Amino acid sequence: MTSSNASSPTFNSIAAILETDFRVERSAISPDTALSDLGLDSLALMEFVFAVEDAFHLRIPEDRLDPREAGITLQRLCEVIDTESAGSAAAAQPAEATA
Amino acid sequence: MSSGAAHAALAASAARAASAPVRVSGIGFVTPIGRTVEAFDEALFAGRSAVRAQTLEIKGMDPMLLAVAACDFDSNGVRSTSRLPLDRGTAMALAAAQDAAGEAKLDLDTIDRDRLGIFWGSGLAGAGTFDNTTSALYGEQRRMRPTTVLTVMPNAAVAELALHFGARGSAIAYACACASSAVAIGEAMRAIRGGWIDVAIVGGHDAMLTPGVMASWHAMRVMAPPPADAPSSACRPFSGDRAGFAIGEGAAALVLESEAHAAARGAEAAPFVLAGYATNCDGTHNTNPDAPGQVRAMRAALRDAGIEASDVGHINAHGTATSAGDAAEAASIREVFGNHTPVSATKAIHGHVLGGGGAIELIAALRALARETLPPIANLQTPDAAFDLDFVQGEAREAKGIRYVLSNSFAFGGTNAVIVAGRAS
Repeated sequence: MTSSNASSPTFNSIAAILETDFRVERSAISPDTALSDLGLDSLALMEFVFAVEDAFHLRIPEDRLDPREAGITLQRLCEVIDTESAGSAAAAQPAEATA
Repeated sequence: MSSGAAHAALAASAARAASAPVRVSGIGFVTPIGRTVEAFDEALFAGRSAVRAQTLEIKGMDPMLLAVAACDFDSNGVRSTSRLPLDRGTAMALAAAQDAAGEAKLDLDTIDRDRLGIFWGSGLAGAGTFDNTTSALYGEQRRMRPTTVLTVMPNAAVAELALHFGARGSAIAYACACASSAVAIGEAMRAIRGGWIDVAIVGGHDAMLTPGVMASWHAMRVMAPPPADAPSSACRPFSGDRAGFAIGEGAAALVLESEAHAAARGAEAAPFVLAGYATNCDGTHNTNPDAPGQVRAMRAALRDAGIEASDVGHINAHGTATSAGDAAEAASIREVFGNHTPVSATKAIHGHVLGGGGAIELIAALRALARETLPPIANLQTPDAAFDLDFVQGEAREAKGIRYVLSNSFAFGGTNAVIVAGRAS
């Protein structure tokens, strides 16, 4: 299953983080949604990426994903997560968000 | 009008404004004795304490048995405008302030938010979050969150409150330990009387029930040991066998407003006003209270309200139940009021909420005014024989016709703050 699918485990996990910890309406969360369109300011985006990293037990290199950069979508975030966690069992079993 | 007469008229007008009562248009709170007025009143007038025993276990140390008053409160249920993770105390502050603004029916779309201020007190602000996050940093090598600083800074709650309400007037945090919220409330009164703002959301909070913070209080030897057979009786203000306080948590908020502004927006009549306020400092010792400093503060608050000591029908004492604290306060109240004014002390039931204490205790005094009933000092069986005061003991006492109440807050650092409240005329 690829992360571009709206029902992929990766997408569902980050959608749950957005919904539960950052109070983003589920209807506003789709693979095509740009990070900049989530209604989160730069501080909250930093916390969101931080929470994603904790949930998937990985670190996203800054050059792969600068949350302040416009246009990056949730689909792109899923791809980065899947790439960074390739070969790791953690990807299939994201930890509960801790933000 | 001659220029002399004009100046005299202006001076008279300024003097009237400087001493004008300020409306309490709404209240809200998160306390160990409840979040609703009904729950709060029930515990307050029955003298039912929320204090419980808690054993604090820290690796390598002897277990600590503590008297604690916790709130039944889920901070995850609070929505912040910033969407940032909140300190538990900030979440309580938001919940209390939203309730107060709701009761006041403040319409944020129509009021002039350049003239809406936030005046908020906290003694330890984000200490609980800092304790938890540094514990995880050192113990589990878990990195700090990107916005940790924003969560623990002394004005963390002020920032979230200002954002939530879109306040563009003053937004100031007051940090003077146990008097923080009383000072915040009083300074907002002054800002409204002075014409700098029209409306203020005021109050304070502290949420300190994390291991490092509780161990810090325990180390200071000011906390009461919870008796094995009756842990809820740990805090016994003004008692001969008093042994210190129980540590609490919570937040309380009030909406203060000038009468003119309330009239202009068509607000419903408010039952209470804040009539007088004073703050000063002992200037003598960090923790040892000074009765003369407290006397000066209480007299100044009475002068500010334009009333005599005999007009006050009830005092909600600071009443920490420490040996030195209660002795100084008993002496200062005796000097200002004699021994005829009934004294209560509500920390016995909701614990010491530090920065939130002044606001919670003022609300307790307002409830006494509303119900014309004085809350008993819980756990007070035998008052200290050295204290010559009229303590409300045993059961709540009827107080028909009561017009004014006074709430004391005396802090580490020597800051004293006294607020006088009365009925709206």
